[in-house]
This record gives sequence, C-alpha cells and structure tokens, in this order.
Amino acid sequence: MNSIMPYIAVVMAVIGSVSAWAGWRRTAVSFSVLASVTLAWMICSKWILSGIPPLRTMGDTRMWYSFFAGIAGLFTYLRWRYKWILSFSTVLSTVFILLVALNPEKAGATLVPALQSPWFIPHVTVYMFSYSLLGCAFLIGLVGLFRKSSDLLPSADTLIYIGTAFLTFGMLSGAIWAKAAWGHFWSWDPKETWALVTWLMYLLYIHLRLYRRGSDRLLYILLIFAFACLQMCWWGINFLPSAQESVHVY
Amino acid sequence: MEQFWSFFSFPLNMLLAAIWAGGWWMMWRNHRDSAAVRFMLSPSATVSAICMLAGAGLWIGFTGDRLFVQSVFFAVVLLYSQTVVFLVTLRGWRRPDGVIRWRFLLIHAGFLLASGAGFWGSPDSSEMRVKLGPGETAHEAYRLDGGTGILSYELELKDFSMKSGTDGKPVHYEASVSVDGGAPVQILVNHPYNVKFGEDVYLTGVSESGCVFQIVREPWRYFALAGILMLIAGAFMLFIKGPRK
Repeated sequence: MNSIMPYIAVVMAVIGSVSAWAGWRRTAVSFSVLASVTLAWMICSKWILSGIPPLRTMGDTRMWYSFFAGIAGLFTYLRWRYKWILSFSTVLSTVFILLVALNPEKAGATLVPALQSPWFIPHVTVYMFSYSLLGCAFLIGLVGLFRKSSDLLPSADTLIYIGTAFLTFGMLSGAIWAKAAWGHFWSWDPKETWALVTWLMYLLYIHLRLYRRGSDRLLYILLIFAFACLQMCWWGINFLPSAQESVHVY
Repeated sequence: MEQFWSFFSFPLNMLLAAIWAGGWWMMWRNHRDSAAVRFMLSPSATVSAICMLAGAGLWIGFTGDRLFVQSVFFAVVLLYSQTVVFLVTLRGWRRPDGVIRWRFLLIHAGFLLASGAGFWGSPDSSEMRVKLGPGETAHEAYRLDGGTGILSYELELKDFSMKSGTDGKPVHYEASVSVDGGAPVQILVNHPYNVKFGEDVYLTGVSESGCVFQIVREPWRYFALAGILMLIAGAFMLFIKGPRK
C-alpha cells in the first residue's frame, strides 16, 4: 500500500496546482490538503509498522521534506494567493517523493543509542519544516529574479523570518543534543559548518532588508545562494571528502 | 597552536574578556561619536561580520580544515563579530522611550553569550579519553594529542552491559561507575555524568573487555547553554512577530 502512496500524493498535488493556475481556489486547496494527508498517512504508517520514527535515512528526510513542502506551498498560496507557488512547491515535493519511491532505502531494525534522545524527532522535523519554507522563499527568489520586480520581497521576508526561526531552533536543538551525546555543543563537523553557513546567509538577507541595503537582484540571488548552501548542508556534504569524518552522514 | 591558545586559560581569558567588554562599553558611553564606534555600529560592519563568518564557514565546509578555527585569523574574525554584536546590542536593546526590545535583546545577547563562551572559554576546555575494564580505576586519561592528563578524582568501572538488536547492532549500552569510591552511578549514551562543575564523563564505546570514557571539561558551558536558550527564545519571537513592518 505504501508503495503507491507517493504516486497518489503526486497526482493530487498536480491537480491542486493546476486548479490554482485555473483560479479554482477551493479545488486547489482541497487537493493540496489531500496530497499532504496522503503523505502524512505514508509517514505515520511507516512509523507504526517499524515502531521507530522514520527520520534516520536520507530517504526518510526526503519524505518529510515532500510533506512539509506541500504544506509550505499551501500556506504561501493561502497567505499571498500566488497561483504559481503551488505548481512550484508541487515540483519540489514531487522530485523528492519520487526519489523516495524510485530509490527506497532500507533502514536497520534498531535505533542506535545516539539517536535515542528526546531531541531526535523535534530536531529533524523542525529542520525539514524550515527547509520547506526556505524552499518556497527560493522559488520566490527565482521568480523575482526572472520578473525583475521587488513586489515579491515582502512575502519572501515572511517566509525567511519563519524559516530562519525554525532553522535556528533546529540548529540549536542539535547543539544541545550534541553536548549530551558527544560532549561539545559545536565541533565544526561538516554538517554543523554548513548549517552555520546556511543560517548566516539567511541572517545576511534579514540584515540587508532591515538596513535597506542591496538591490532587488542581489537579494533574490542571495535567496537562491542561501538555498544552495542549505542543499549542501542537507545532502551535498555527502559528496565532499570531509564527509568521511562527519558523524552526520546518513 | 592548541598550546598557544592554552596560554590564555583562566584567569587570563576572563581578564581579557572583561577588558574587551569594559573597554568597548566605555567607548560606547563616552566616545559614541568616535570613528571606531561609528564604524562598528554601521550596517557595513554588520554585513562584513556576517560575510566574514560565512566565508570562514565556507572555507571549513569545503576543505574540512577544522584546525582553521584555531588560527589567529579566525580568532580575529570572531573577535570582530563579537565586537559588532556587543555594540549593536548596547545600542538597540531598548527603544528611546525605554521599552525593552525583547526579540532583539534575546537574539543578539544570546548569540554573544553562546559564541563568546566558545571563543573566550576554549582555552579552558579539554577532552580526554580512558579505557577501563570492570574493577579497574583511573587517575589519568589520554588527551587528543596523545599526552596524558590528570583527573582530580578516581574513576572506577564497576560494571557494564550491552544489548544488541536483531540486526546485531548495539541498541543499548550502559556503564556503572564510581567516583572516589562513592555510590555507583549509571552512564549511558546521551546521559553523561556531571562529575563536578563544568566536567562531564561520557560513555563513548563498549567492547567485551570494557568501556571507553570521554572526560570533557567545559567550565564555560553554562554561558553557552544560557546563550543558546536565549537564542531559541528569540527565534520563537521571530516566528511569532515576523518581519518588521
């Protein structure tokens, strides 16, 4: 049953995004909600069947990201009524959920001791939620760069503020957990380092906006660059030689 | 380089931190119009501080050169960033009408405390490891550079156990240790034992012959934790209040 869930979710999300383009708001919202519920069902059933939170493998994080990307896209659509955002968030969500569906990963039947922490679930889910919000900000950056207009910056600001708030919690909950597990709040592990770089990029955006510095083009490019750093932090570091020393590779 | 920084251990680091903070506070109070204070409070200083920190992070991120954080260059970047945040916090923690800007204060002072504890407190931090079999005691442990360090107490492994899952991987291991012959205490992964102020004993590994313990001294960790909690509270307010209108 779980193997067809991703495809059902994708079909629903596509119907939702096409409806948004067509201006059928209720249909768009309904199908987007159904897509998210389908993914939530998939996550819950995997959790119940294994008895372990599905948060351990890259595939697991992709599944959560797809779920949250749909919700973040829906939130942005409901809040600012950009009819294009659902299509873009659907593409984002679809790419990651299809990666899960076409390349299923097998996690072990046990939860290693380091992951047996009350921080495990909030740390990973909050990170994935922030990634999805910042993914929507990235989409706004792309569209804004193409349209050459500053109209989209206020909505990007809201997404960046909320996304950065969750990113901060994710990073710092990880620091508290690291202290309990490995003895140090911060040890410049490649994952930690890229998380810091990503956080600083969004801080830079926030400060440039507060100081009213930087052209619209620069700000949109910064949104795109910050999201690229985020991708490095999430999965890109696995391709760096320094990842061999990381305790965060999964 | 580690030996060079250990020269700045307590009380010198505390003294230098007090001189640094007091000096800039005096500058802020009495010479607000000086070029140095005006520059440190400028948007250019904030943006350059963030960019320099991000640049250092990118260098470490791409090269994996963790020793870079022990370089003088990195110390200068951190000190510069801390100075900017310190002065910006002094200027902005309350509005002209006296109302405290809690979000601003929590985020900036939290960052200052957390990063300051890491920066000023690093000369006082140390990490050692020791392997013990059942009934064995230790008065010293190995530092990461291969040398030995003295423990100010006697650590004894009383007992340990390990459980494996169906796939053979360990799912649970714990050790029972005694400090200075006292009552045994349990140490598990994610549950270190606070042996004294700023010093914890961690269980890092278990084999058939015994356990590997990690002894971490970080007396400034309380400042770091306070800063982290303030930052989390500030982030929560960032979420609730959103962008400034």
